[in-house]
Formats: sequence, C-alpha cells, structure tokens
Amino acid sequence: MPGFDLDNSYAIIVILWLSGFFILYTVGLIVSYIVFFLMGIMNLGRYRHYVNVVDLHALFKTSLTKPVSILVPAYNEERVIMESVRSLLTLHYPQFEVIVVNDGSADETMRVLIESFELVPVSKVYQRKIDTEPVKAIYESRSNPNLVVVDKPNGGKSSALNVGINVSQYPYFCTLDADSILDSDALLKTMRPFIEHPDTMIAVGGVIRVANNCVVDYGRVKEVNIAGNWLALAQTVEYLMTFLSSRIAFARMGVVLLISGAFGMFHKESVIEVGGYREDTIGEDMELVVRLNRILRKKGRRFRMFYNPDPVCWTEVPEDLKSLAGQRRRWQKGLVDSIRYNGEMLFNPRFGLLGMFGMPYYLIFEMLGCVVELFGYVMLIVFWLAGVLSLNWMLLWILMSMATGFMFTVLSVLVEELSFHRYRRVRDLFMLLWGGFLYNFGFRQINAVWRLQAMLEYLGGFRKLWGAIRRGGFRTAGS
Amino acid sequence: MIAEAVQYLVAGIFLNSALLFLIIVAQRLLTASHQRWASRRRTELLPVFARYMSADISIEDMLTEIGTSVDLAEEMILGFLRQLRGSERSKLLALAHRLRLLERSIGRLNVWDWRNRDIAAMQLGIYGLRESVPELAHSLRDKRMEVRFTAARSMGMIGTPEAGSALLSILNRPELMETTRLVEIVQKMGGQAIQPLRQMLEDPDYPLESKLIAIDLVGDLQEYRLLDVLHASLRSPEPEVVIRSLKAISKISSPGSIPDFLRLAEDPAWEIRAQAVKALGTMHVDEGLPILRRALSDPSYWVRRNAAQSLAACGYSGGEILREARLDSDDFARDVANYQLQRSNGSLSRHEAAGLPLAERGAEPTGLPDRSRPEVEG
Repeated sequence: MPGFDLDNSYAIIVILWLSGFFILYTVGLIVSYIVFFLMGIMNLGRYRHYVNVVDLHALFKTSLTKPVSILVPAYNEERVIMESVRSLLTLHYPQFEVIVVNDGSADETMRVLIESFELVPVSKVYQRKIDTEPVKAIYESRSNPNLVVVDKPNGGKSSALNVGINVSQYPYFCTLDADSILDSDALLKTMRPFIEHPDTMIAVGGVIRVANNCVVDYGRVKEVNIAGNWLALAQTVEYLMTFLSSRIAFARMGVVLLISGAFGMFHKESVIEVGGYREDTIGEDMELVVRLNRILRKKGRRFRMFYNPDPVCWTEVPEDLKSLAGQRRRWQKGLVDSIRYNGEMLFNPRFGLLGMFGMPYYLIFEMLGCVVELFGYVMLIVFWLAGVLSLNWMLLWILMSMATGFMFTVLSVLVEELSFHRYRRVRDLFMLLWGGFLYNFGFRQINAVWRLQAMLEYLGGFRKLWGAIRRGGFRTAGS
Repeated sequence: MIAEAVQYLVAGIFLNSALLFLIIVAQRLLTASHQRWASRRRTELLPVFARYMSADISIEDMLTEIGTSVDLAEEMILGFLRQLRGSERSKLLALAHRLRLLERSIGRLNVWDWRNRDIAAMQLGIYGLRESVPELAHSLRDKRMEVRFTAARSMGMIGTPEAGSALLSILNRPELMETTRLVEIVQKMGGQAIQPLRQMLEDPDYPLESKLIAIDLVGDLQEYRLLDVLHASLRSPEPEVVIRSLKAISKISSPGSIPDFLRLAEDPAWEIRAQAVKALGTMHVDEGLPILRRALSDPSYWVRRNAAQSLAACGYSGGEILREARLDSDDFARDVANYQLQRSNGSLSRHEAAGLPLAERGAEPTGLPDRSRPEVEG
C-alpha cells in the first residue's frame, strides 16, 4: 500500500478537522432527512384525507374558485406540445385559459400548434405590467376559445412566463412545462388552499411525477407504469423522495422556498408586485418564490405559501445522460442564482425560519451538497492512499453512505404506499426498490459530478439559458 | 472494535431497509386482499339491498344479512343516500337507525382525530336528519377549519330553519368561517333560510355587520317574503342598513317599494340618495322621472351619475329628459346628461357633445367636485 509521512502534526490536524467536518455534515444531513420523513409520514393522513374526502364538486361550484390562466412556455416542443395542450384544454375546472408562449422555437412547435388548434392571429391589446420583451404575434384558436398562443422571439423561459403573465386575464396563474400532463382535477385541488385562505395565499405548489412509460390517452395519464430506462427509474425514486418528504416538511414549517416551475399556481398581483420572473436567471422558479418571500416579508405583508402533494403533474424526464446532465446543470446554476440574488435572507433572523433554517439548508445541503459528497469520496481515497484508512474502512464508509441513502429511498416508497398509492402492481414496488438501488449506487454520484461541473461553470461565468432535452414523446393508448 | 460496530451498523441499515420493504409489500398484499373481500361482500349485499328497498325482505332480515359487515353497510347506505331523494331515503334511514350509524357518527364528532370528525360531519349531512343539527352546530366551532366547513355544508344539506339559524349565528365570525363560503351555503338553502333571516333582521340586538350580510343575502335570494323586513330596514338610523336594503329591494323588483325609493331619493345623505335613484332606475317607472330629473342637478356627482344612468334605463321618456337636460342652465345637469348620452350610444355623438357650449371645457366631464362636501365612492 502506498504510504505518506504522517509524522507531521499539521497533516494530523487537517485529517482530524476534515473527519470532524464530514461526520458533522453527514449527521446533520441524516438527522434532517429523518425529520423530513417523520414530518412527511405525520402529515400523510391529512393529505390522504383530502384525497378521499374533499368534495371536488363543491370546489367546482363555489364562487371562491377563481378563474386561472395556465401559462405554458414552449421551446422546441414539437413532439409533445399537441398532446400537452390537448390535455390542458380538457381540465376539470370552471373557468380557465391556456396561454402557450412559444419562445422562438427553432423546430416546428408553432406550426404544430397552428394546425392542431386552428389558430388565427388576433390584434389583442394587453397591459405590460411586467417589463419584458415585445411579442411577434398573438393567436387565438377557432376550435378552443380558451386557448391563446403567443409567439415571441427567443428570450428564455422567464421572459416567456412574463409575457404570459402580461397577456393573461385572470387573477391567478399556473405555470406548466410544455412536456407536462396534469391530472384532470389537479387545478381544482391546487386552488383549494387559495379558497381556504383567499386573502393571504399567494402560491401553491403541487407534486411532479415521472410520466415515462405511462400510458397517455386523450391527454390524460390512463395507466401509471414504472419507467423501464434506468435513468428515468432512478429519477422516479428521486422525485418521490423530494416531493413526499422534504417539500412536505418544509411546507409544514412554513418554509416554502421552491415551487417547481413545472407545476405551480400563483396569485398574479403578488407576482407583479415583486416584478415577475427575473430574466437573467435560469432558476426562475425558485428565484421567484424566494424573492416573493423576501420582498413581501420586508413589506410586512401577511401571506402564505403552501405545498400540496395531492394534485399531480406528470412530466417526461430525460432518458439519456446528455439531456439529464444539461438539466441538472441548469438546476444547480438556478439554485446558486436564487441564493446569490436573495443572499440577504441567509442567517437573517428578520426572515424567521426562512432566514435561519430554510435558506441555510438550501445553501449547505442542496447547493454545497455535491461538493461535500464528491470531496468526501476523494478524501476517503486520499486517506486510504496515505495509509490513514484501511481498504476495509474506506469501503465500509462508502457502503454506509449508500446504505443510509438506500434506506431513505425505501422510506419514500413507504410514504408513497401509505399515501397516494399511484403504483398499483406489486411488481412496481420491486421496480422502485431497484430504482432506489440505482439512485444510490450510480445516479447520485453522477449527479453530484454534474452539479459540481455546473458550479465551476458558474464561477467561470458561463450561464446558459434554455437547454434542449431529447424527448421520446408520450406513450399513447394504442402504441 | 469500532470497525465491527460500523459493519453491524451498515448491515443493520440494509436489514432495516429490507424489513421496511417487506412491510410495504405485506401492507400492499393485505390491502389488496381486503379490497377483494369488500368487493365480493358488496356484490353479495347489493341484491339484498334491492330486495329490502322493494319491501321483499324485512329490516330484521336485512340486519341478519349485513351481519358483522357494518362498516361496509354504512358505506353502501351513505352511497345510496347521496343519490336518492324522497321516500326511499326513509327506508335507508330506518336501517341506519337500527345499525346505530347515526349515533356512531354523532359520537365521532367529538373524537380526537379531526379527520374522523370531518368524516362524521359529512356523514350527518348525507343522513340529513334534523336531530343532528345541535351536534353539527357545535361542530361549527370546531378547532379545525375543515371540520367547521364540512359541518356548515352538512347543515346546509339538512336545510331546516334551525340549521339556518345556526349558520347565520356565525355570520359575524369570519375567524370561524370565510363569510363568502357561509353565504354560499345559506344561499343554497333557499326558502329554508327565510325564517332565521327574518329573526335576525328583526332582532335589534344583532350585530350590525351580520345584519348587513343578511340583508345582502335576502337580495341574493330575491326573497319577496322578506320585503316587509327590508322596508322596515329602510327606516333604520344606520345609513349603511338603508343603502344595503335599497340594493336588496331593487334586486327583488317590487313595485310597492317605489314610494320608499322616491322618499329616499331626497334624503339628506348623498350616499342614500345615490342608491335610491339607482334603485328607481331598476323599476323603469314614470313616477320616478321628475325626481330623477331633479337629481341631475344634485350637488353630489354620484347621485347625478346614477340619476343619469337610471334615466337612460327608463327608455324613451328617460332619454327625452336627458336630451332636454343638455340645454339646462345647470352645468352639472348638462354635463352629466351629455356624458350619459354619449355612453349609452344615444343620439349625441362625441363631436356633437363637444360642440355644445359647456361641454367644450372637456370631452368627458367625469368626477366633478361636490358643491357641498367630500364624497367617497358609493
């Protein structure tokens, strides 16, 4: 075994410090995960109750169910856009409009839309409440009066969303990715918190689930299947872990710092009040939510944000390494942006739990997590090479890190099983278990590398905007 | 030693995960097995229910058939009750009584778990029996908002005057329930809400806020049987009560109210005059025309504007008065008449209006200052 001279007190001090840091970090992470899962499980009954008991018919009828504008920014989405818009137009909701903003797609997205929905250009007047780019044309559909399509030059997702907000006519808006499919009553369920707290609720997030390999019929997910591709399978488990534990726990503590851009509903005036989506960031979804928290708290406004794990939005996740790497790098850069732009909240008691727990958690465990994880692996190897650690010990530590990760993925499957029970076959459970294994033994490590790469790119000043994800399109009933 | 402990720890974590997974699979299998049993039992009970409903078997036979499957029977009875109306319900309710389901639901209203209280409140609404109103009224003050709302909805479904009274008693308690939601529930009760609304409006000790909402409710329900109470409210010393009553009466469109409207159109308070002239416009009657004509010169902008709108709504004769008013010596009357005629796409174009001597000062004479005292939007 290679060895190094350890008769150096500095080296020993460094080793002790590093070991102490990693142990503390790991313990902190494990404790926080345990707390999240406990809180998730404790709140399960509540959500289950909502799923089974809430009278959606009553929600549909009440005048408190306000009209909603659904904003769908689209960039090179020719393969999924028709199915996605068709799905949205059949949502079970009293009054809504679908606004698709084509952000200068280089493919046939616009043509597909025009042909599929009989679009005609209109000279619609709208107020530019948020300062953003001008649009090329606005189209309305002859066949679907509640469909509006805005064509604009490429400017990024944020500018597409800001244009959508300007064109929208209703008091609430819901953001959706073009490759997403909502459950038919998802909008109603998302509106429920707004109905319960009409004066204070400003944003509600829903759960995102993986649609790969699910059967889609007439714009609805008809049959829920587990993805066959290993990357999609690992992401299925990852999404379950995120949406059924930490998000629930954070929301329970009143710390909502992220509502996924793939599915979230907002009070329009509040978003306009803080200036809409920031156009120089790629993490526009998180940045907006953090900024809403920051500005409205500073103004002393009483407001609430909520995370509701019942309304489901299905999305197609990347199945190839290249697309996934691009997506994860964008997410990481977005996270860094959000923390950077709203840095004054960090460890600031003025922002309560948000400042003292939420933001520091995102900084230490989400943003820097990849650095610490990879550094940890490297250090284990260095310690082994230095003779500080035996091979057995090194393997044991790596195994332990993966074992705890694996336990949390099994816990998330338990939470899913006790709550929403979307995967109906026993075989699906075994697939999820396999997904948990893949997630911890491969996916997590590759993801950490991509995220670290993103951090380095960010530090180097490279901040790419939209990225293309190769999509296979939804699996339809006949296929 | 430490290495051994860590090895055990890792093995323990893996074993724990495996055990957890086994629990998940077992739970899944047990649930599936229970669902299969419930489905089979439901299939067995369905024809028995049909025979009971068509009086082929007695209630005793029905109870024997149900046996220990009381939970399933409860679920089925509630499902049927949701869909059935009229006499068929009474047979099912008799069965529910014999199975002591109502007592069970009422008892569950007080359990620790709010979800059970919520379900119980919902079940009592489906049973729709007035006996459960006091317990549900108690649940209107439950510490969970979900339970309070379900109890309110259930009371709305029961729809008796007692339920209405209980619901209206929390009208001034927005911390207990969002007023709009409560109003929607009471609106759905329709005629059943009349008696409690009357009591509420006639009771001098009722809080003013609640009374105002109740008056709005009467207007929304367009309940002519409460017109006498509304007419009495027009003599209230509270201007807001008078204004709301005027609004409510104008929704009901009762010709008998015209003398009151005419009287109030000359009230000293401009807010009341503004509402009264507006109400006159909804009646489309000639008796109001002279007063509306005079109101065009009212010191208050809102009275003038409403009067002009009411005249425009009164058809040809109202339009004639507006056209005459364009030549009036009073600036305010002229301006508001011009403006109204433009807005109602009448005989006067923008250019014509601009050509008139006093309209030259501005194309749209909106928001002219009051001659006497400041106003707020009425």
